[in-house]
Amino acid sequence: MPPSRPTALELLDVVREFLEGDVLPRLAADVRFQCRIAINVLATVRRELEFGAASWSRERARLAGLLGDADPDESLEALNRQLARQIREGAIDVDDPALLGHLRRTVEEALAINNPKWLESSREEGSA
Amino acid sequence: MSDLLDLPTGLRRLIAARLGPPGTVENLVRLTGGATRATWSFDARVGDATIPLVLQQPVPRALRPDDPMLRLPHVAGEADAALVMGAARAGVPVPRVRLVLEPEDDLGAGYLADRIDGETLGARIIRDQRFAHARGIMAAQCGEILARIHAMEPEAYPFLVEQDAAAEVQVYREIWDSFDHPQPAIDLAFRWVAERAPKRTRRALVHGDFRNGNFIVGAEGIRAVLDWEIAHVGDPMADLGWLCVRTWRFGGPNPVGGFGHREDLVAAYEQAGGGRVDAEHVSFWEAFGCLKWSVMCLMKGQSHRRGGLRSLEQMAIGRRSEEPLYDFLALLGRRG
Repeated sequence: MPPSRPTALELLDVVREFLEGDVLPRLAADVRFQCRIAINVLATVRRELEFGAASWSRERARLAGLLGDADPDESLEALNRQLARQIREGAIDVDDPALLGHLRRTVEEALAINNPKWLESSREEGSA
Repeated sequence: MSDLLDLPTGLRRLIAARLGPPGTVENLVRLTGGATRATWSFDARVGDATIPLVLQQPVPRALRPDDPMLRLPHVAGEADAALVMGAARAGVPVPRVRLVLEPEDDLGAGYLADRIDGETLGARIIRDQRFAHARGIMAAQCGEILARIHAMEPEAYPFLVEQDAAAEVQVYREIWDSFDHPQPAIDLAFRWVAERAPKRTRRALVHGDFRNGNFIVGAEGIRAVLDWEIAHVGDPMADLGWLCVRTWRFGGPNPVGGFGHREDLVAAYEQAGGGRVDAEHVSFWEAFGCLKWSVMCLMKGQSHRRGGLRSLEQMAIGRRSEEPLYDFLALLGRRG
């Protein structure tokens, strides 16, 4: 069966528009704060639906490269567990630029879903 | 603990008996619903005067006996009041404690303090025009206040737990381990802080959550320092580092709470007798602060899984754990 229509992204968009346009203006201050959080959560879920799979597959590829002998069928969680164990046990050099590069990229890709503004404002700040 | 229905009655009796009649209570509202305590705001009539007050009540922590979160410092009720009163004697701006609840008051544990007007929301303190002057002087105020807190006698507060950097790293590590949620960046951060935890530092009373968002601010600057719940005895530089964690800048451009400069904080701290400040020592605590906040975000984001609080706000915070992790990695890149 092809994906149903409206798509999940379209549904999220219309719910968000409804909350922003029709619900938010009618709310008292304390609930309005909660409603804004709900709207932000929907935006996060939307970004995860849109970018998550590609981002996790890039993370998987980087992890397989770092771990060398990793089983290609291992789950992302299992690969992360393996790398985490190596870091904890001191089996991998924590100053290794390839490791640090991977971790930075992974955190950046998670932020691109959870809060892209965090990356933007840090670029503006430069080294602050 | 009293519920909303009999709280006004209990408060009126309490105020009439201990502050003076008639003790009428007006405008009773619950302020922040924190995980560890409840804060109520109200106005009390005593004689012809109306006194703006808050009631601070500890909320019992619903944790299993083996939960590693039980090892976090936790100052509540009578101990909280004793610490706030001691801070006032040390010249720290805090709300004046009016009375500590006794068993015969029938209101559980807690205390009444004066309600201080002002802004507590970090983002407003950073952005609003009315705090422009305050922002210019708050870093120095923080330095002076911290020097006074760190001069308080730890032995006067026997309920405080003692935690040096290594012990605190261990506590957070155990909390992190209990999540069973593999994130190599967090494991790397724990290795980094464990290898660099400062040893044999000065031992002082540490506020523990001294940051933008826990201050009551007016146009003239900081009016009061709040939230002493995780105070402990430890390395005083922890407070300076935590104040500079990017999360507590609320989008502001400057490193100290978003409002000020490190040089002003350090100069005021040293001048007020806090002792010489080593920038690298503070930066350890800023980096560890990022890691702690990352773990705390994860903790809030999954407390519903442990049968704890299930709230939209808490769960949304769970998705913020990468923000301080990103900042940690950025600090690491600059320090090497």
